[in-house]
Amino acid sequence: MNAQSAGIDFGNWTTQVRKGLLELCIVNLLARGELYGYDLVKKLARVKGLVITEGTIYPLLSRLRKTGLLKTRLEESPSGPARKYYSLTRQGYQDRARLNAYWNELNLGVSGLVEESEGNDD
Amino acid sequence: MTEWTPDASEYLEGYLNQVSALARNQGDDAEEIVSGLRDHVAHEVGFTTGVPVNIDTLFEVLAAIGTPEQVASSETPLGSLSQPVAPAASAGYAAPPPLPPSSAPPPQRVIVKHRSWAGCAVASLIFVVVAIVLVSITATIAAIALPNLLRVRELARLAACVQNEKQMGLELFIYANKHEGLYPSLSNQAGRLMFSSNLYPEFLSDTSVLVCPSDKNAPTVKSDEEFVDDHAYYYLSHAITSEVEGLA
Repeated sequence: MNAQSAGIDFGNWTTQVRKGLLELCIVNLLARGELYGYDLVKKLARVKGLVITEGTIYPLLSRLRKTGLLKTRLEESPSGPARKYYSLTRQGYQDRARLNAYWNELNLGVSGLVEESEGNDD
Repeated sequence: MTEWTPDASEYLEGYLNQVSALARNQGDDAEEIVSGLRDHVAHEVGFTTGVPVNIDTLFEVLAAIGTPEQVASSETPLGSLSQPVAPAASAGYAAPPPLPPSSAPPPQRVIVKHRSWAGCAVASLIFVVVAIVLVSITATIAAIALPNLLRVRELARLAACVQNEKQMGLELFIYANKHEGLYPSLSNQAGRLMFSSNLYPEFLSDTSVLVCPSDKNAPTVKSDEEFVDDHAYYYLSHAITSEVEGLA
């Protein structure tokens, strides 16, 4: 059986589509206000179709902080260790605007193409 | 603070250590990542006290968090998503992640090779043959060397014996020079033909010269006086044929 007859590798395709979207989701979640790391991960996990492995968010948050998009602060917690809260920096807000603009443009174009294609099918 | 059973605690630390090592290799802030993960795990199991969290619960939590390799995925932040996600994982399946390597080295596998009976017999035979050859060589060398050694020792004793006789003769000459050419008088007792008592101690200070070292019947050493009385005979035995007959 060759690759053409096997059809598209859906898992790999969705992975490629999701690449890059996680940063977009994070900066948009944090644009509403600071979030505790655990809460942020749980909110991302609830985004439909994103299908994240929860542990992978922590390295990503660390890298975004190092690149200057995010900042953190610690707050004492009565029920456990001190909590780390993440929020956007000025640079983070600026990058969010650029990411959203691109995403909206892409989404609009691709959605129109899909709708047009599906309309022709009917 | 969350309490853990010992095995769960050990497993979690191993997991976090593995994540830390992988993250550090990629230049990430390992401490920050591990801190976040530890906090995440604690939230998942709940901050309960009094009831330690067991390893099964930990497995469920870590299954959602991902393997250390997934967590510390390299290159892009979303690199981990390039790995296929098992449908069961997204549906809450609690498949335990692979156990992180323990700090202790894995036990070595001991491979025991059993020899065949024939192999053991051949090895034993070779051992016996080698042992026999070695013993034979040792015995041959000893047989050759021992007589030579004994002969050399006997020659040395005889040489000492000759030297003693020379010494005795010299002492007799010295005595004669001092006594107008007369030698010491002999005892007239059969078997005790002695004149050494006339020499000792003025002319004969070392009584050991009276005995030939090669003489196997030589008596044990006594005081010088007794020695002179009892053993001057041995010296004179060179000049007599019998203790009973007297002088030859």
